[in-house]
Amino acid sequence: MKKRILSPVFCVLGLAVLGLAALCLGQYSLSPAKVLAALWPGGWPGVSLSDTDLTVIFNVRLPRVLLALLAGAALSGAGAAFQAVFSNPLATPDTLGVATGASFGAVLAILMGLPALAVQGAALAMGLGAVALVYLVGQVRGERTVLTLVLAGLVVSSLFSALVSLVKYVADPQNTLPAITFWLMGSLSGTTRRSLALGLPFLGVGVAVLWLLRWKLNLLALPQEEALSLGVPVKKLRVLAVGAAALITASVVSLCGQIGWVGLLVPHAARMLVGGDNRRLIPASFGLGAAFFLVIDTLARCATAAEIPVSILTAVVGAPLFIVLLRRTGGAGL
Amino acid sequence: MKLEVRGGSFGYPGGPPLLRGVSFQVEGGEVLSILGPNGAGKTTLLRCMLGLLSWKEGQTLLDGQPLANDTRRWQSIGYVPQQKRPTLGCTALEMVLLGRSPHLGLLAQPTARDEALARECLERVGAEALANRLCSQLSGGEYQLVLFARALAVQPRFLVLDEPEANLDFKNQQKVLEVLERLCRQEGLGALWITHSPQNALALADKALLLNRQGEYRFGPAEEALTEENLSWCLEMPLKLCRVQAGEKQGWCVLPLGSREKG
Repeated sequence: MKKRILSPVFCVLGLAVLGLAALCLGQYSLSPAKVLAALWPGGWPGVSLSDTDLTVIFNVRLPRVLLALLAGAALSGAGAAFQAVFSNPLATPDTLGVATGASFGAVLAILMGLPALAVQGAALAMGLGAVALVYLVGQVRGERTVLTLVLAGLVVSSLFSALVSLVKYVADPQNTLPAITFWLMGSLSGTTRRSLALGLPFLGVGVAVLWLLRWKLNLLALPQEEALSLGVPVKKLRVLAVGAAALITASVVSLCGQIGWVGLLVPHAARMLVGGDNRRLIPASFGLGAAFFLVIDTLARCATAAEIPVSILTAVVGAPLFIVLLRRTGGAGL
Repeated sequence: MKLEVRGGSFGYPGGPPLLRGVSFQVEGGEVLSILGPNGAGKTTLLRCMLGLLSWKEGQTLLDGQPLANDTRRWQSIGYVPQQKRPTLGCTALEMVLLGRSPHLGLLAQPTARDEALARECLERVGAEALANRLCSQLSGGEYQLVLFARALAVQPRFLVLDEPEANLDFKNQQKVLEVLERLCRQEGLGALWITHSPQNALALADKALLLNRQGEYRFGPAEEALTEENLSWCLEMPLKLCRVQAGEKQGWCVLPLGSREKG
């Protein structure tokens, strides 16, 4: 019992410390005292803040740190949910082509020279369009099984990745193509308070739904007939879980581009730590994903003078971490 | 407490009729054994009875009322399907806990009481030692007991089992039969079970339902239904029943007389 009460508290504290550290770090470095004084006005008399300090904290770093925490948590939770829905440990948030669809929406908008918010909206819409298309295509002879859905996802995903290639092919190699390429590799550098405010509700809804469904996800991982015989409205539940996970994936891609690895590896890492029960796995994936993605993004903006694309770092940092974990736990809980 | 099928008929789309006008009933504390060759429609019969498939004609009645078509029916019926292991890791206790699902709403979480009940169900089938083991690491016999316990966690009035002793070694088959017998005799549960073994059916049955591949059926009290003649008719081969006794124990042995000879 003690362990159960302690660990969520410990996680939230750990995330708060990480977040504080991330707010201090960067090209324009800030002392922890300054950051704390800005977050809690009046709590730290004697610390004076310049306008630049406040701008950096509230307009640049805070939105970005919040997004990294939330996107990492949501994407990992979505990965864990997809793995349960498809009862397949290799399922990722992109299994149904959501991320590819969203990428196509975004690169198309970049090609047409639309402003950042329009790029975000196009990505979100196209990502959700992709999953709707999968549901439409995945219905074979009135039946929609996990297999037909996965196959439909594969087809829709390759269709959209071909369309992304087409956009890259016709894009102007002087300026549009580099923008597209950078965007596809994922980055949180474009985060503003407005983009965050637009994306946050979708992420929040997705995270809340997955959290509420966490125990029922265990039932979705059973063979369909067993789930039905335990009184689970399988179709309804699957639509809810897939919908929430797709909403998360499309929102994350719309906010920070394609993020590899997080949705596949963090749930597995969490599974090795807390086991396969989604009642613990979903919250653990949230916490671990938030921490991992915040560290990655902070590295991305602090390690070198120029931004490093996030997808490169998630793989470079994630792969060794995962191998260590696999060795340590012997793959327990898998 | 009575589970009844009246005039149930079914055939898969485009195929010949598989079940024709099947009627039978089972009451609390009774065991109904269902026998039949491969492809006779035993599992299909259970699926139709439970509403996982729709009867073409006829209906299922629970206590005289047509079986509700919503998820409520799963609060009175514990179904143990043929073994299929889950792909993702979960422990035996977590698996048994899933049996509480019919009583919990879509967004509800199981409480400490549900967990205690799941533990108790594992104890009732004598598998409490397995609670924290991963399902993927259990033997076939152990996993079958876990599935049993999960069906009990529903707190059902009827248990429906699809070949619960298939693929188990001789000792584990006896163990499964003993658990089933105890649940019905001592706790008053009604049970329907499919088996491929006439000997196991003879060992544990108050009533029997025999299906053949022509869509015909015979149903009656065990001693009337499980005769040499009926078993030969159902299994399409001649066989002999021998009564054996060893001390207090007595039972039936089934001697097959060769599948090619015409009885």
